[in-house]
Amino acid sequence: MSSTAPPVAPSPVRARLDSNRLGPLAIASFVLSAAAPVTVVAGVIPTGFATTGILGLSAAFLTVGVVLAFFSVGFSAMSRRISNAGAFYAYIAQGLGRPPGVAAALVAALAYNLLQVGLYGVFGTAASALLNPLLGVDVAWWGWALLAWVVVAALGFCRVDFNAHLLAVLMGLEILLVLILDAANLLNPADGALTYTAFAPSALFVPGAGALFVIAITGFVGFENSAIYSEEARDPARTIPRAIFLCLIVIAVLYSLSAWAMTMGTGPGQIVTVTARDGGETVFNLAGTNLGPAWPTIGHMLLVTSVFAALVAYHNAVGRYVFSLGRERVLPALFATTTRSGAPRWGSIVQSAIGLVAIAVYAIRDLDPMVQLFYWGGTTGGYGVLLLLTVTSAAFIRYHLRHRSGTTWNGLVAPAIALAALLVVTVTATLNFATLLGVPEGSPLATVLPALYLITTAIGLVWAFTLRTANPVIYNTIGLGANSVTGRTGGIEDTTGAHELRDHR
Amino acid sequence: MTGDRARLYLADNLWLIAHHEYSGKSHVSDRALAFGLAGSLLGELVLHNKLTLSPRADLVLTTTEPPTEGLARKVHSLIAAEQARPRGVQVTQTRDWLVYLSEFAAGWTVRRLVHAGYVEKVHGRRALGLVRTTHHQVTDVNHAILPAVGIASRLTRRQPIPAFDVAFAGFALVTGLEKQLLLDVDTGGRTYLRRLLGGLPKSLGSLVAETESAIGDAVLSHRL
Repeated sequence: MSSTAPPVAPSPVRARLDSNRLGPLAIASFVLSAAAPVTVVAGVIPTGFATTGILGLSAAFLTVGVVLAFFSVGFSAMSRRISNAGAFYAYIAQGLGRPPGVAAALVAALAYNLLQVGLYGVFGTAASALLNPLLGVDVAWWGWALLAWVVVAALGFCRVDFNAHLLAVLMGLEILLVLILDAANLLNPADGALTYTAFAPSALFVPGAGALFVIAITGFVGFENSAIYSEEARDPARTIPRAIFLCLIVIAVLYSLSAWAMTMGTGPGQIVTVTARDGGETVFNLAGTNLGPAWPTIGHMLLVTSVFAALVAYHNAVGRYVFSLGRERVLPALFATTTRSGAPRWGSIVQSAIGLVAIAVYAIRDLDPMVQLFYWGGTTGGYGVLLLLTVTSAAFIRYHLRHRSGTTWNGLVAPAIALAALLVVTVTATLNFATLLGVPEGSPLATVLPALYLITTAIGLVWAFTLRTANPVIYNTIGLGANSVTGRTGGIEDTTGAHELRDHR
Repeated sequence: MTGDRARLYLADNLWLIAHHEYSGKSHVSDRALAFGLAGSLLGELVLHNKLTLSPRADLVLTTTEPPTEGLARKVHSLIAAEQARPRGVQVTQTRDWLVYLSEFAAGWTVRRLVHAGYVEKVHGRRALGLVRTTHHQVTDVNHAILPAVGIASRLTRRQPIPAFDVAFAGFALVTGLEKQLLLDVDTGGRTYLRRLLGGLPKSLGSLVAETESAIGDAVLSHRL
């Protein structure tokens, strides 16, 4: 028997640290819990069919899934090098420079806010559909939305996180429900037989297809949160990529399946008219027809809880984002303060204020909560994330070329493929924005909404250059995240002569 | 028990300033305080010249001779035991040690304070007398406020402040205890403090920064 060194006793410190660490499944379930499957299936997909009038949504989900897979190769490699829970803008700052980084930070703040605020629209709609008949009242959508707003603001400020297990169970139930509804649709095709045209690549080469990609990206938003957990992952080099790909696969398969099943349930020729007529109720009407009257109620209940969980998740995401910007002093240090319970105080307050203003404006002007608040808000937010993904891919490449970090595959080739694909998607999406919104070509809205991001970028660039001249020390630590603190105070010369050390024994 | 502040250590001072002197309730979240105390315990070792931080933020013991004080000796021996392991398996990163120590720091610090007589365990009842509670409370209210008062007055008068107190101020600030620490200190005094913090010896300065960064990251992840 070969003799080797005696077995090393496991370090109790290492063991303790590892026991608290997360595996890929845990991370994936945290991430997916913000993805709100029922909200996408019952809310985004039918509204998408109705407003764009295009069938190829299933193909779009699969395509976007593949593109994001290439993106994630570079993403997971970078998340090991740059530990910053602020994610995208840190990569952009370190890859492309600080001015684009600051601009990206503001773009992200805008996008996530739009996503969050849009959810109040679908919450109000779903809650009134469920609770008004149940309670025998006639509360407007915005009444329910305001109620949700109060609870979200309180939960966010008091730093009450949902129990991770509870979230995982809820998400499991949502996925189960979606699969049941999909099966019901597939077993009862309106045309008598299943057709697969929704998956054909040709479905993507129709006018306005760019809109489908934005809708698809909106479904994937949140997968980037997996990078937040890289500090706590059991084996970051392997756990994070696995968690990300698990999320991507689940999302891509679930949504493309559901979109296809929906077209089978109504018949591909009728999907647009049915969804235009029934809106968010499409899925539940189908369930009622296929499975019985109890199911719409079950579906509504899960939709309400799903949206609510997403409301809290995105509220916290914005709060954290603002906090990390405050921590780096991109925003005033005030934003880096926390409450007694550890919540980002001003991040939470600002986000709540934005939500309140949005609900008020939509209520007063009597605008449609489902299409104009939820769908427009959500997809415009998704468009913002698309822009971030595109620029981040470029940042991966630039970082790799500059620092020679990572391999040619994860530093150059995969991000380059992702960049090319995302550029195509971005351009087509921008050109098809009117189709996305369901407004006539040439409508001002189709230019104003994307232009918001242009304006935000400009503000970010100006702000970055202002910071550079006003406060170079802070400017130099932009994008360093956790290390911005150590970057600020590290490297101070030892002034041994200048201090007195008292014997305080 | 003379209330002699010279007997108190970084972690003890931090615990005292972090808790309301009458109700015993903490001014900051448990997690933030846990990290602050963990950093302070490591800071005590640095002040005793037993520990330094490498440029890559690794903890390095400067001597195998342990400190005389009980809790400092305990922390020292933990680090020493870890550093006796083979290179590849050791835990050396400051952040890892902060995370590890944060689980125990509060309990250990309270025990030291109780042992020294500055803090006592108080039993009480809540919820109309149905729930029995215990919490810790200072035995003498002056102990709680003395650390901050001394620093505050010296800051206001721009007097020199020893490294021990500057380090304590640093940990207090990053833990979120600015209000408790700086009481009525004017803007000039605060600027002076910031300058002093910048002049901390390298290891102490890095340790405070690492603690701040750990607390910040704990806010950002859902695990707070």
